Amino acid sequence: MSHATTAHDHGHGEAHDHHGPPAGFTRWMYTTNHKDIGTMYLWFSFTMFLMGGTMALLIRAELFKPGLQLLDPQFFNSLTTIHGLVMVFGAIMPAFVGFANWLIPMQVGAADMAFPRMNNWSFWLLIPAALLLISSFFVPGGAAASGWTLYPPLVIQQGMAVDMTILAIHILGASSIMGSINIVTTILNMRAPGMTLMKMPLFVWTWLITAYLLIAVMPVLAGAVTMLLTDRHFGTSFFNAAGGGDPTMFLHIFWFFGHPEVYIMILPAFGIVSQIIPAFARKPLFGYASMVYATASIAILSFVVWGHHMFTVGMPAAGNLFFMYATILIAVPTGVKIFNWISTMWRGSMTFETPMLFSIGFIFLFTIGGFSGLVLALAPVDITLHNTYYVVAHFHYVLVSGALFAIFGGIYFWLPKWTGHMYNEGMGKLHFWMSMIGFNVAFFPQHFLGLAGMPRRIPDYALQFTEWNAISTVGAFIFGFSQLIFLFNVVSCIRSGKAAEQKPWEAADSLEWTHLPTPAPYHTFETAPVIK
Amino acid sequence: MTLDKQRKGALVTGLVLAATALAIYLVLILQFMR
Repeated sequence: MSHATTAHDHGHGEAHDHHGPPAGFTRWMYTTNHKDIGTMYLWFSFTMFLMGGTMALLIRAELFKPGLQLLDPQFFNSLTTIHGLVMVFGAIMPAFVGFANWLIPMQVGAADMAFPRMNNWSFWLLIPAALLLISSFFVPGGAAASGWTLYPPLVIQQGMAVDMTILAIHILGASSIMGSINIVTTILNMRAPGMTLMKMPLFVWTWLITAYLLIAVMPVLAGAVTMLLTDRHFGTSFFNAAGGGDPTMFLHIFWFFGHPEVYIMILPAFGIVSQIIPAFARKPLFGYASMVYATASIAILSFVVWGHHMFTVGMPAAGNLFFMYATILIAVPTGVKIFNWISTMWRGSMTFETPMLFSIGFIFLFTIGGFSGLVLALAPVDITLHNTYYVVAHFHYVLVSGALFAIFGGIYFWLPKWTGHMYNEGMGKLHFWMSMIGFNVAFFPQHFLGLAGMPRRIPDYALQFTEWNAISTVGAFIFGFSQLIFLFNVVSCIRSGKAAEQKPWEAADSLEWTHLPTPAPYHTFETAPVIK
Repeated sequence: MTLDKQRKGALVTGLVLAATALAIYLVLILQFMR
């Protein structure tokens, strides 16, 4: 008996020390490991990115020339709607949660996330939500066609696809809130001894602030769509003017969620870029503390600027003025960040591997998106540009060359740590330059189209907009297909990339690089490191 | 910090955050019910 017990203990102890993942589908279904869940988030996000991208290419194909070529106008409107929802809730947000899962425990010296089972649930909720969104194309009347903002009264009149969308948003919201609770708790309660808040890597800081934003505003979105649902089916009139409700109130509530949502999609990108630039400039991040305070300032200000999305709705002039000035104020902490990144590079010993290229591309193009944001923040200008392609150009500069470029940079940066293999640098650079050229050819002309008055969300346009639309479509296809280079590079890195060195980026200085082997083992920091 | 203390702290933080989210959701809807 004692022999058996000893053998069992020994076996268990060894299995514990060298514990690897179980094999097969159950590994992914039941996993509570933050690295597995991070990987699933990232692959889910990429899948949704390809789906949303296909929708974007259909939209651009229709807009290649004036007149109606390929798509029924109702289907076109469904495409713009679901493209937006899929990219925001299916691609960008889950990608950042994937990064958070992979990196936050390793960067704060924790063994895993605070609530690993809830973490598993947060991920698996995404699947039914995504299925609801995508399958809503196939129900009578087609998918929701109101734009991703779901404005009443249109959205109250549409078919059952809207209910599917509302349910999907509820599920996605629950998933985001649970993910955020996990992230805040991990950061506040699970840090290694000595890892004070002001020693945390910037990526962790940006996610801490983002997670607070999510917890504050996802319930607001959930409340708004719950009220839409009861207006549609249970006889309430929150937003239904026919029953004494106020459709404009929906806009206020939606954008009270919507503007912080924009920062939810960009603050983690700031965090990623703040990790990459010091590593390739071989200098510590310039102005660490000011970066933290700037991030917090941006987050706080994001709650008082929602009205700039609705300058044309008929608010009093004092309201428009308040939202205009508050919005312009955000340029200050954002400018602090841009200044700090550039100062980090100043006189650095720089090299230009793919992660750095994407980060520099991020700074350059996000700044353009920021400036067009300032243009749109001016209420009198916005009244002219509202709902034109200028707005489309602006937010794609922020979300594609902002959020998405940072995601690409981050993936190239941490792939060696995650997989133990190096990606192909030549292919990475090709991916960057093709994306850079394709993106700018697609979206820069949309500024001109918007200034000339071309409205968005309409499948046809006047003849004078033809040339820039044709050019924009060509750029969109270049950008879209260049993502296949990325897919090929990542898959070949995982399967057959050459072995990565222990620390492929010599100046990277967060815990996952300095305290852990490459690739990171399945379980890390079972004993917390002590940070000096 | 002992593990138990850490777990307790995590549980409290998690519950407070969850309660906050739920409260925001309910208060928003309830204040528009009239």
